[in-house]
Amino acid sequence: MLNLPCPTTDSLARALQRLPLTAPQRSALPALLTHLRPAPPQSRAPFFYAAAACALLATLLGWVYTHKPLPPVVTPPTTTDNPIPELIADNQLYEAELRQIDHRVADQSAQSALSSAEVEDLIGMLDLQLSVDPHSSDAQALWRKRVQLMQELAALRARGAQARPHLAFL
Amino acid sequence: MSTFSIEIDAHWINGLRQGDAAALEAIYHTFERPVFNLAWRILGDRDEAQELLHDAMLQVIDKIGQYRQQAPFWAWLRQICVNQALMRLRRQRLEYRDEPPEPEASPDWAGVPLEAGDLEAALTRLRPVTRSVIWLYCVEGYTHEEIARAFGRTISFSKTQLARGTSQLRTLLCTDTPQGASAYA
Repeated sequence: MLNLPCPTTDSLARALQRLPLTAPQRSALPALLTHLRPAPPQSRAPFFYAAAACALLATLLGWVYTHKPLPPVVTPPTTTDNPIPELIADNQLYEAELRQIDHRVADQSAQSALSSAEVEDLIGMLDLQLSVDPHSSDAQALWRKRVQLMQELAALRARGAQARPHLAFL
Repeated sequence: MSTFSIEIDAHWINGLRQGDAAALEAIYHTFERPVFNLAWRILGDRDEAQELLHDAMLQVIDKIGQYRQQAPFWAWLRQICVNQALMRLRRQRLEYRDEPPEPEASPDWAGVPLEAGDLEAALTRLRPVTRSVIWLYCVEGYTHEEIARAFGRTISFSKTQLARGTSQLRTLLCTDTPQGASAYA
């Protein structure tokens, strides 16, 4: 993770690293403590309910499999062995599209802003998972999901921009 | 070296998984300043940094079950903070300018005054995105590839922002003309 020393920026980096740490004006700890959820005590009841649910599910699945023929499995054609670079490129396309939408009119309502924020939160969570282990076996699925969310966010912003054309003059 | 680079005992992590208040307190006090500092450097706003401190720590509480110890705890926590900070920048609708890359060679820093107060002031005059790239690269030790991934951009974007930002910082520190410097913000 460390960068190679660069004579041109090395002294700047050292000066930045020497800057004193800034302290918050107030502690966030009291509010955080209210969110702590102590682990529930072990008891037999949850296990019993989980086992019962599994048994019920197994019974239902058995019934479905014996009474209804399964549809043929259709697998999407694979054009490449590693689609991740293509998915990253798709993500960058949507990033570019988002930048082109006029941000001053993008969020036309609190509801729209809330929806956008929720999607952005989900994207942030995906970024977190990808950054922890970008080469995991789940990476492809995560990148694919990120493309979907970026598409959704772009659509939300675009709808917002179309809904309030009069604000474009602001 | 990253300000986050602090090893903590595994029993605090296990304690947090169990909802132990003492564990949360220990982890919070260990990382309160690094988290707030990173947020302040990226966002440039104390109130937002304060909110991020709360939100990031809250996410740690919520997601501690997903932490698999493949990376040090501090690196996992730092990634949460960086993601949250960049998400906030995205919400501010800050545009990234796709300008042609500048030469990577930065100006020579020999003889440039690097007093802490001046440096602090100069940092606040940079565009948030540019400042973030400089901070992640120079202080947190991120590579251009990691910065590009965090921003969802190209490596060229990271290199350009770093070259432009360091050049602007040098100008600010050498000329000491706040009026002219405001053009970067």
